[in-house]
Amino acid sequence: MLSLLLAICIFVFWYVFYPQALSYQEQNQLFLWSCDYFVEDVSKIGGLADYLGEFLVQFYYVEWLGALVIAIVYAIFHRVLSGIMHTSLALIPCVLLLWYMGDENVLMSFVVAIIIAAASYLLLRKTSIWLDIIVLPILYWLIGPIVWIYALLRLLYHDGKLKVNIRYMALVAYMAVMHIIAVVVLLNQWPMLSALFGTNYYRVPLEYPAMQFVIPAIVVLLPIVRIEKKWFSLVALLIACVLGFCADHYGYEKDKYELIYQDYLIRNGRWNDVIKRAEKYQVPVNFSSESVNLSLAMTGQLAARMFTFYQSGEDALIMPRMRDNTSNLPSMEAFYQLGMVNEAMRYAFDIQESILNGKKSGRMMKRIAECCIINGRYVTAEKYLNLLSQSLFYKEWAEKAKTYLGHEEWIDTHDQWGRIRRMRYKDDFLYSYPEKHKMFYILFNGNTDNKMALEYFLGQTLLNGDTKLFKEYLPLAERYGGYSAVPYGYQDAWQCIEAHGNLPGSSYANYVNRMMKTSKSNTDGVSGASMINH
Amino acid sequence: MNKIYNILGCLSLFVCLVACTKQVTDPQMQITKPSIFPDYVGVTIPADIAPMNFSMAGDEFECIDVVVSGSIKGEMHVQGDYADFDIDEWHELTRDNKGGKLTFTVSALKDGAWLQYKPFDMMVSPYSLDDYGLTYRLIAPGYEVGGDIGIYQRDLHTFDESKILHESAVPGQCMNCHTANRGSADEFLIHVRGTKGGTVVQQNGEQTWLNTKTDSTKANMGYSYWHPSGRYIASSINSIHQSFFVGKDRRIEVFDTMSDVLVYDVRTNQLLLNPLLQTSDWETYPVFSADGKTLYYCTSKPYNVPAEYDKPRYSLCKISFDPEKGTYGDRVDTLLKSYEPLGDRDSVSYTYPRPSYDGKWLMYGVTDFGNFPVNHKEADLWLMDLKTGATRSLTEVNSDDVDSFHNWSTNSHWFVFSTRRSDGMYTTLMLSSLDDNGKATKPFLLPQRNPKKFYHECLWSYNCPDFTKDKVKFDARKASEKCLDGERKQVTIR
Repeated sequence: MLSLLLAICIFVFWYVFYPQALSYQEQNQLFLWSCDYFVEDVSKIGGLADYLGEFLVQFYYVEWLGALVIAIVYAIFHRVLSGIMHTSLALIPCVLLLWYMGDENVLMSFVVAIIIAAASYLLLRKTSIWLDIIVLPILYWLIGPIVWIYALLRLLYHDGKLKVNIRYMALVAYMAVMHIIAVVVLLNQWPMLSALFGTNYYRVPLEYPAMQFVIPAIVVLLPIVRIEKKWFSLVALLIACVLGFCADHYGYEKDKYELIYQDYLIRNGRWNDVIKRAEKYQVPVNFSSESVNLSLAMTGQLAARMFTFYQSGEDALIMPRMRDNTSNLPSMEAFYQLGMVNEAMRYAFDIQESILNGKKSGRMMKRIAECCIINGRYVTAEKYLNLLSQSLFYKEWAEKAKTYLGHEEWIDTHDQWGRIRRMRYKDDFLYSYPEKHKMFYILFNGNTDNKMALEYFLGQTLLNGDTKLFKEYLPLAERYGGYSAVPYGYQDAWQCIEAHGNLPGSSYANYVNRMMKTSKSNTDGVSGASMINH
Repeated sequence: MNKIYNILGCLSLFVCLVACTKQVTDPQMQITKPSIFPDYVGVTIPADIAPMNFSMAGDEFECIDVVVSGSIKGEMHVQGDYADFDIDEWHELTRDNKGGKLTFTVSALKDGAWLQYKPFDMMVSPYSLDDYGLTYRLIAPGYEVGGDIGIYQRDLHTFDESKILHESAVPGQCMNCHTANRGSADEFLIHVRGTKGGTVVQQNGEQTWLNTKTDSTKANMGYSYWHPSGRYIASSINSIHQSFFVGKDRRIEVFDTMSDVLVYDVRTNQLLLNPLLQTSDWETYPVFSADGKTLYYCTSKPYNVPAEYDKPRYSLCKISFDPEKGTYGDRVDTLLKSYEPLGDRDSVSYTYPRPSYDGKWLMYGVTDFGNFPVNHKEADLWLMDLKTGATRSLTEVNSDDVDSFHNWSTNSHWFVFSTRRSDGMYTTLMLSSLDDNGKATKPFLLPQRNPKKFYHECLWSYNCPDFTKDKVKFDARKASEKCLDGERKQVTIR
């Protein structure tokens, strides 16, 4: 009953409050339904836990399904733990796990490994010690160093009671020797600590969060606590509730998850939702500025409302390349929608390669395949589409996309690919991030229907404080923007420029003044007055 | 782990074989040779190479039946989803027919009917390839992030591949080519780039981690090449950058904003500089001649890159080198002038010279401009006869796409190079042999157990290939520790 209640809470927690976390996890892997994929995973130490973890995470593609999968996993975890400790106490490791999973780099393989270790103990606790000579290496190979949970439970508990059996010390020594041999011989392509603590529980190498040790320790030690009175059970429940509150409060960093939420909405093309959320709260960083600006552009509001939202500076439309798997997501999406196909592909490729545990990304691979299709690189596109066809949730899309390969007319008339083909650059030259306003202008100049490029160009001139350029090219907006009147944002910027930045209530003036202050503090005395540059 | 993978692979193959064992009955004779992947029709292979497995190029075939007959002796017969030859039997057949040829009769089952194609030949070269295999870097053909990069070695006589150094051992760092002294398995260097960067030189099983940047040199050692004696390493020092095209046909241009050439004395831990090699021009890709008495390199006038990215054109030069004293000659000779016409081009760029170890040939790359041929569709391999100075394009091996980055086998009768001919994006490796007259044979794609599946799904580019005489033994754990602790032996200037 408690497991069911836990599962319901977990389902609501993920589905209602953190669907973006599911999307984030899913986009950092690409699970393939192929024999090769299975063999590749299980041929590594801890590989079965990896495989099962990735298998489960693939379902996060559909939020409710993902939340249901996690709920079931937690219910199983609780049931298994209830077999080795009191059912109320078993809630404590579950809640700690929920806390730990607030760290977006925790991998599902960690959860799977603990469950397998505890379940194995439950299943084999009454068997002979001699069986462990075989079980331990097999379990170690399948789930990695978390097997120590199994070994220590075997050492510490007999007939449901704490009773250290000296014979089992030999078993622990056996496990230790085996572990060291594996670290030295089989895992020599890893730093020593990674090899010791597990290479597949956490996405970031050389980082070993305390919770990675605390949770297994709790699982091993908590069965010591015997609950014989009802009130004690209530105390355990209360502790679990308090920990649950702490998990949500301290484990899930508000701003981080707000940004992940923005990306989740962008991924699903929910542009208006991005704007609505930003109207209530916006994290003051470039990632958020880019997300909101892209959403404004996609809904035809960029010219009017850009500066009514937080703008981080010159990087508020497009960010320079960052070497991680998240920062450049809005830039990548913006490039794609603008028709800057090569840049979209570059960012998507590097985002994928920045996934620190070496996994591919279904979302990025799909985008790379789209870029290849748009650019007519059909052989390469086919390679990606064939891989995506081996997945559960990208398969249908990939199969359909494959029918387009080589069919120029079909692609030209495709809603998105055809539009991007028409919008992309006509000439070839080298991209320059510092001159991105020029990049936007050339893009627009190649196709004056590309209103988004025009708005990005004018927006970038304003972000740069290049008001001369803005004024010079504003007539383009009147001519090609398709506006019935000059958008409010441009009017505001114009008036602000005319008033030399001294325009109370002006959104652009607020931006300029903020930038000037930032510039002053950053350059220690160098004037930022040149921000408004006639 | 590789063995487990192989065992499971064999099991699945067994299942496939069981599923496809049929008699070739009443085949419809075809007048053409079969269209197979990889295109092994008419290639020349060394005896003892890994089995040259292949599939029908199209996906419409249910089964393939292959009979291989040796011109001198022996026969093999396989049937399955693809032609998968037993390694031992294959080796025996190729050994028995060294200097002869193998004739392949291919039948393929399509819509329940067998089609039998005109037989094709595969020549077995009289030149052996005794090296253990190849070393190369596997990297996603990305842009600025190395990702899950690694340096690997591959047994050319089987399908065994193993890691020499993987990114997992040095997290967050990038690694450049494994550069060995004439295919030595125990005399090589690897550059590691990143916050914990450095150059590891391994000799006699000992790793030495170097900081190769000094106050007098503007960057770390880059493209390197060993002196045959093992005492010196010629190297460029480059400031390498890349820019990205916005159009649909090209992706990346890599260029230097400065580069010089120098020699590192391994014994004294000193850099040997010379004003002729540290000019305001750009010098790069130094290599020693087979006798170690000449240093070849490429040089270009400097330009304002990236704005003038298509201007630099590299000439091929040489300067003498005295290995006894570690000194250079006082004159630079230009062997190939970039500003002179080549065919229908007014000027070209010469890059990546590689002298054969027998001293007869110099193989190099030719592109329209720049020094990084792997991104140049027009990049081709050329060959110079070092006795006569005569040059020619290696049309036997070149393709319409990138052909670049080559290295010689230790007996100088085989060479490996990377190419993007398969899809224009992923580099693969091809091998070819060269006879005593400098005539190359049709190259063949590096064999894989199931090549069609492998290459069609492979998300790696093969980079900087070279031969290795024996299996490289490298302590990756030790390298990991040394790399991450950041301690480096500082090189000095002589």
